[in-house]
Amino acid sequence: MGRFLFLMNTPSRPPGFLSALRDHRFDVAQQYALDRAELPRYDAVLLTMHSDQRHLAEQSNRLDAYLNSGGAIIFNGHVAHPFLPELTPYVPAGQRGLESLRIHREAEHPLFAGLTDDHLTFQRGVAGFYSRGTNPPPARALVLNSLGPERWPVDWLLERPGGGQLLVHAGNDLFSFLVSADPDGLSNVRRFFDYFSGGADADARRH
Amino acid sequence: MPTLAAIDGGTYYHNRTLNEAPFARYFDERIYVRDVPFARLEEFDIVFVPCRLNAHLIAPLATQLIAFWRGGGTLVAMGETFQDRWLPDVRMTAVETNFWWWLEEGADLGVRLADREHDLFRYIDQGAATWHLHGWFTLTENQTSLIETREGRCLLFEDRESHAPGRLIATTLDPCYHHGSHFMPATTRFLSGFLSWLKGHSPGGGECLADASDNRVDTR
Repeated sequence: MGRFLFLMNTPSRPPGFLSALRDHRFDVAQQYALDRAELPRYDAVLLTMHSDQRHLAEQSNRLDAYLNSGGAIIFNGHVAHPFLPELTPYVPAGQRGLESLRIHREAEHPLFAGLTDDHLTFQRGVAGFYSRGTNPPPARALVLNSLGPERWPVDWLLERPGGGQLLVHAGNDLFSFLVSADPDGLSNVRRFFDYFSGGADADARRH
Repeated sequence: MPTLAAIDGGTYYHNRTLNEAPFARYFDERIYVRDVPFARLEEFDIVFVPCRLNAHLIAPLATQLIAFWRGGGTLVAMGETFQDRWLPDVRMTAVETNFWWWLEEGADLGVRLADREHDLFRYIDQGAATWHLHGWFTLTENQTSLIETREGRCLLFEDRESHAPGRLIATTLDPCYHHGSHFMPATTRFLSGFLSWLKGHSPGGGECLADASDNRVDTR
């Protein structure tokens, strides 16, 4: 069982999968609760596309220390105020028709197992929702998915020497795509959070 | 020229809209949302609450924002800020957003200019107000509809009466979010016209009428 901190910055209800994934525990809070959270408790901290990045930048030292201690951060959206040393501001990709909006799987990885280019590219037959640019990754990041013929990195994973992991998705919240790409709505997100809960490995990394 | 202060929620789409070209120069000041309690809003003519600023964060600032309006300022509250939760006499009905309306040939989202003679429409046309619908207002007698659906449901209103010379402008349209996401060029055109109108620039000044990138969504 994993334990995750889901930080919101909207007045809406949390997404339904948080309560549907009963194998994992999600602590849901408005973003500024981050200041008081005991981060080492969590397998990962989830940041949405609506995050107040100025606040995240204020909390940069704590987030950085959490990653160094083996924690994981999942960031969705466009980087505007880089709040970790690995982050640089978002760059939009040029758009010239369908091919420029096509998503390409770049590396086999449990986070996206079973998902095809088309799953990520099309929503009801329409391309362009998943990502339209890149949060440029550092050289040692593993690019998981890319955009268009230039293969702009849209999803990338970076592992720090101490085992901490940073997953960056350059677009609207990744979870909604994982849910909609899946007939029962939960298999992809379950696999996703199983990966970050990591069982004994995760505990060993952090303790 | 009136001075314009925007509240900055720290999101990427607020950053692109408020701090980056082409619109940064319209804003005389940006006040980080957590600094608003310490700010003197009355130093400005217009206070702009951008799209999707978290209503939980706005609620404690409501007294301050309403005092600014009552004191003669122009308060602008953009879409998805759930104005009905923090402004008096605002009644809003949310609608399920249809992201797919344009898929059919000749489709019409149904956005209409309610009063074509209004000064705002020297700056924006119907196309610049057409992308998504998130909700509509039920108006009081002081609230004048400027943009509405073809059924006459209000999407943007102006209230020049309740606290004259103070003015309230509220909309359910969310151009800052889409422009800030490099998504939906109509929203860039909307902001270009809307901000020029607020600032009292001359209309059709040729400012950023096209987004640098073509943000079409393509079909398989």
